[in-house]
Amino acid sequence: MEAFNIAITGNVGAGKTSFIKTISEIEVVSTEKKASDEVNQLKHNTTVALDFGRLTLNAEQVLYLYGTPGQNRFDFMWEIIIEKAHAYIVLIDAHRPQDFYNGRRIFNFMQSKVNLPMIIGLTHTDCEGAWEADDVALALGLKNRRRRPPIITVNASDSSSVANSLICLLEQLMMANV
Amino acid sequence: MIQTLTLNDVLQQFVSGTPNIQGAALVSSDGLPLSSILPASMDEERTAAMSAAMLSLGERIGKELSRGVIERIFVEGDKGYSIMVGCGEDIVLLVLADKQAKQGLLFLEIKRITAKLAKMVA
Amino acid sequence: MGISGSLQDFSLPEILQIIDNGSKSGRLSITSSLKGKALQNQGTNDLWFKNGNFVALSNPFKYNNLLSLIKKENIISSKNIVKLYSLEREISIPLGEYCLQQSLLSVERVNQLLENQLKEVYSLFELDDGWFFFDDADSNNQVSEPKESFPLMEMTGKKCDTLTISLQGMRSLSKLDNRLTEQMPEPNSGLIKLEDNLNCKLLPIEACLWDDANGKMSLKKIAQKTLFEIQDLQTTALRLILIGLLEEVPVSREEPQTYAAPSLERKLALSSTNSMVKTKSQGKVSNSLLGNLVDFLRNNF
Repeated sequence: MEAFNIAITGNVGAGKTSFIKTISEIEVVSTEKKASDEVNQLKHNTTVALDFGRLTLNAEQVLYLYGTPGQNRFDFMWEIIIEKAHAYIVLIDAHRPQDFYNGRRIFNFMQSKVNLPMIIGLTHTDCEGAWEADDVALALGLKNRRRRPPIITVNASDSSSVANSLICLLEQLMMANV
Repeated sequence: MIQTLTLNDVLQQFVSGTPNIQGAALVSSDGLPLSSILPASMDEERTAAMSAAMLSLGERIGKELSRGVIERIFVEGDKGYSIMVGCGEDIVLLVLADKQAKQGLLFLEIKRITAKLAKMVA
Repeated sequence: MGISGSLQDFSLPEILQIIDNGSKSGRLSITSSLKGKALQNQGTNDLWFKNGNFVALSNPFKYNNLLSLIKKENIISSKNIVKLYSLEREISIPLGEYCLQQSLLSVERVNQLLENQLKEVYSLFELDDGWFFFDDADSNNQVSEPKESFPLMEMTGKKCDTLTISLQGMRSLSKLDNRLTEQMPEPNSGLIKLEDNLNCKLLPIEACLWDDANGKMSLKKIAQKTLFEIQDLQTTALRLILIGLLEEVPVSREEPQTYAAPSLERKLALSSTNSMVKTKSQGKVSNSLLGNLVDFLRNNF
């Protein structure tokens, strides 16, 4: 059995759990708990360990999706999950500029741990006050337009949008494989 | 404020009054510290997050692998034990004990303190 | 197009950093909220940038701000001042530049005018509540909401790079508010440089952080080495992080020496045990899987 592991990381409330729920063929193994801090203004539940989803391609090949918690205090989970990943997606909520700094922290954390193909997925881009991709990139500290990872728009609850973002990530991986 | 003090007092009494116990922490199920008596080398916030993550995974295992309601998570190392138990709704108690601790006694003490704490946080 | 948000969520140095990194041109409007603490900054101030550099400060409710500054200097005859006021509609170059051309002001005086404008900008760093809106200038050098061109009457013709403004602004800031202190780097964290070269002069404590920003030294270690207080190092580091000079990075908690390439070492460790196959699949996914997955995703969703 050949397994392909993708880690889904990013800010609190960016849509990591939805992303996995949208595409997984199995009921997602999620560890959501009632949020007791300021996060509960954003959403009721928050992931505390990981989310796990699966897509079986055939008898020999399978895709596993691992979602991380968003808060800094769970950075040990980021580490555990990213070490097993072949590629990863950082989800950033485009209409919550107050979270960009934390998104940047997660991104830096991952970059310091692994050198893997990755893309940045912008969620909630249709919401009022959403930033353009170029400006989010700058807020994440990605100055060089030509040398930054692909930034794409994702609707975490739309399966074709989620599938598209995975295809984009796979293209990155194929380029790295050549 | 008064409540935090008393929670802390109860934890303090538990840690210093029970043989072989090295620390304890009360955390919310989403991993935020509520009150803790921990060895100085341990970061409260990180410990809290880890306890919550571990208990939630354990609960998941209990459910998916038909083990029923999880009573406790028990991590045994060559230097001691860490035990995580649910303590009332949405609260986790972490207890650290050294290797000399007698398991039966330990579980009993934890049961007692959990009942006490659960009443206080309810 | 533009970026907007609350100053509670996004601080002025962070906004300036984006303008700088994106070499942006346009107008940054800073509007203080009524409950904002800095009373002298009530209302809206517009900061103008060209290619990431500050070029003007204007205020929709204070016309001819630069001219009143010039007037205060008392070095231009009142006749000429009146002449300058009447320029408003026909001026085609920055006011400062015009004064230079007409030999009304010396270069030093014009530089001083820019400094005076900057002082007003620095005071904006004190705002902890309010809104910002950056309106990108189009190819005609105009911003859209409301439509406006670069305010030549408020321009000295001189510019100041954004990093210098942020550095000065952050230094002049008396107290870091709560939201900023939430981003305080941890004593166990290390720092890395985001810029290769520095054009501005650093204070001793800033220079210490800059010199040891190699991703390996934790702030705690830097404190031990330099004898600066850890709290002072943390707040100074935060200021430098906010302006985009440094970045906080994790330094491995247990064994700092494994920080450099944890994944590689792990792979080596695995390959030396008998799990070669596992390591291989761990490191690379077959093209067959990738191809199948792309097809699968295309066909099923």
